[in-house]
Amino acid sequence: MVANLTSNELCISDLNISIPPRTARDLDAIHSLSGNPRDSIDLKTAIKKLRKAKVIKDDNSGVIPRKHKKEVIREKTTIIKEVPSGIDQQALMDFIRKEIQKNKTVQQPIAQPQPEPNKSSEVILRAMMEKMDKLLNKQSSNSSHGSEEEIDYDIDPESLSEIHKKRVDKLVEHAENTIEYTKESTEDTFTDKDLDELTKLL
Amino acid sequence: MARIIGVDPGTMNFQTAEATSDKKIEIKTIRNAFVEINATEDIEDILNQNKWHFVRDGEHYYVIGEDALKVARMFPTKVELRRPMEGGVLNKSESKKMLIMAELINSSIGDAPDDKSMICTCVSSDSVDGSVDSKFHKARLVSMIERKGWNVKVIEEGLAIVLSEKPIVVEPDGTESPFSGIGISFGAGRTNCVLVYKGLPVIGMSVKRGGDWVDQQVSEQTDTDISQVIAKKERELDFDNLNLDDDVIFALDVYYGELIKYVIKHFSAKFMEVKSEFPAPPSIVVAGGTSLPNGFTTKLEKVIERLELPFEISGIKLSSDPKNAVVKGCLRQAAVSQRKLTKSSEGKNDKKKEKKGEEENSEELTE
Repeated sequence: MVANLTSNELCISDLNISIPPRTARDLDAIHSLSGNPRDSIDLKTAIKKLRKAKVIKDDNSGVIPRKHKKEVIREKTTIIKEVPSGIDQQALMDFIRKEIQKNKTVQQPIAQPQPEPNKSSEVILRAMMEKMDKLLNKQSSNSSHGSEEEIDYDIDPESLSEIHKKRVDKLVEHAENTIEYTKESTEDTFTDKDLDELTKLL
Repeated sequence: MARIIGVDPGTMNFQTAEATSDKKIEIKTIRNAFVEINATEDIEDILNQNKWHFVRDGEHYYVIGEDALKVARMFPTKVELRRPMEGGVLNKSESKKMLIMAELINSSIGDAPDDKSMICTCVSSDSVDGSVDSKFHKARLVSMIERKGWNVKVIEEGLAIVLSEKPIVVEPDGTESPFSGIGISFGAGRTNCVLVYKGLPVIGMSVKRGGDWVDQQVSEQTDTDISQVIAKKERELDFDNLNLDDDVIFALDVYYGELIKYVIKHFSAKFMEVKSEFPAPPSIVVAGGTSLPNGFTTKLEKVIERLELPFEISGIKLSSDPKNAVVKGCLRQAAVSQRKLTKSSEGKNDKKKEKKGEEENSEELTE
């Protein structure tokens, strides 16, 4: 099977065939017409040049083998990994959505003879989107109502404070230090009158 | 005797301030950073010979403060400079943050001498740019201080500046309202901004941009090591006399401008959201390590002039002690809180006495 994943028509002169963009041709079907297509120099050149026209070994069932499915999925995941690290979560979601849409439009012509790989890659992308949605919901609820740990804090602040204290006690159980500080002494310009004034205000 | 202390656990420095009997304030400062050193047989000898301050936890050794920076510079590939705080809160990616912070608290303030002793510390105001909020950080900080027996009061960082500097708003009728103004703390991890009226915070917000952000941007844009950027910022940056032929200085000027714009725009949006009405234009008081370069207020004025603010301001002033203003503000608040605590407990004692007296009187009458 040879698939033209480019947006241009692909002409293989010595096989006397042309493959429209985003479509696939069965090599074995071509073989019956004009020699062994795997030996075609023009096809090899096209594969080398374009790197998008791929020869895929198949079992004549019309289904792209599992190994290739993995490749398709890997390609998609690689794209997602390539998102710049500084991007925000919302932008990442938009990016994934766009990728799914692009995936749909790009793969549709190939999807007719081989619908399964599209399904599987889309299933994975959808699962990823769901996870991202959950993550986003969690993050937005955290940012508006505080962290998960804070929810515990809201439930019983005194208990949480005790837990914190015990945790710190345990943490510093075997700790010693020789810490010294840079010390400076400045004039205290805050008069008793200022203190009285502030006490009244507060 | 009861002690009163202000504590500012900053991203760059950990500071405490305590009033002494001779009308002075003693400020203790330590760089809030550490490095882990591999334990060897003679490790303590090496540390003591070099007079490096350290925390020992079982078999692990952590050099702390300015010494940590020295060690990190000496062995750049072998040790990593680590920070207990990041972006104004306890550093969630640092596993030893609690140990180091607890030891800093332990060594700086120690145990409370009595149940009237008071500490006031500060946290960032609510974040307006989606960065981590300070509530969990605050809970952990409070519990670390309370476990040493102290009463704890927590205020917003921007408020501490106003309490320290005592800006005044002159009302339309000519009366003066003290402790009223906008306090902006340009820190390393965050910038905090609070509008205060008569000592009470009206609007407060913080953004996750500060000196660290400026350093990072300049380092990336000029392909200069961040330590060199910091060194240049601390030694050469002068907004009144900029050497724009120097790429790093030029970039520092640009990103300082961006930082100020970012802060003021967010504060303006918050102001509009709250729809606060101020009787007279307040002044802005700035402090914090990032405000230290010469001419910073001139820069701030220039940037603000180009922005359309939804409120009027009467002036911009740099704190008289920008490095220590926050911790001094915490000390002021601690003094007020301690006074109130004492009054409240005296009030309770008086009531108890009154009740006891009434009971005794009624017993006498019955007899």
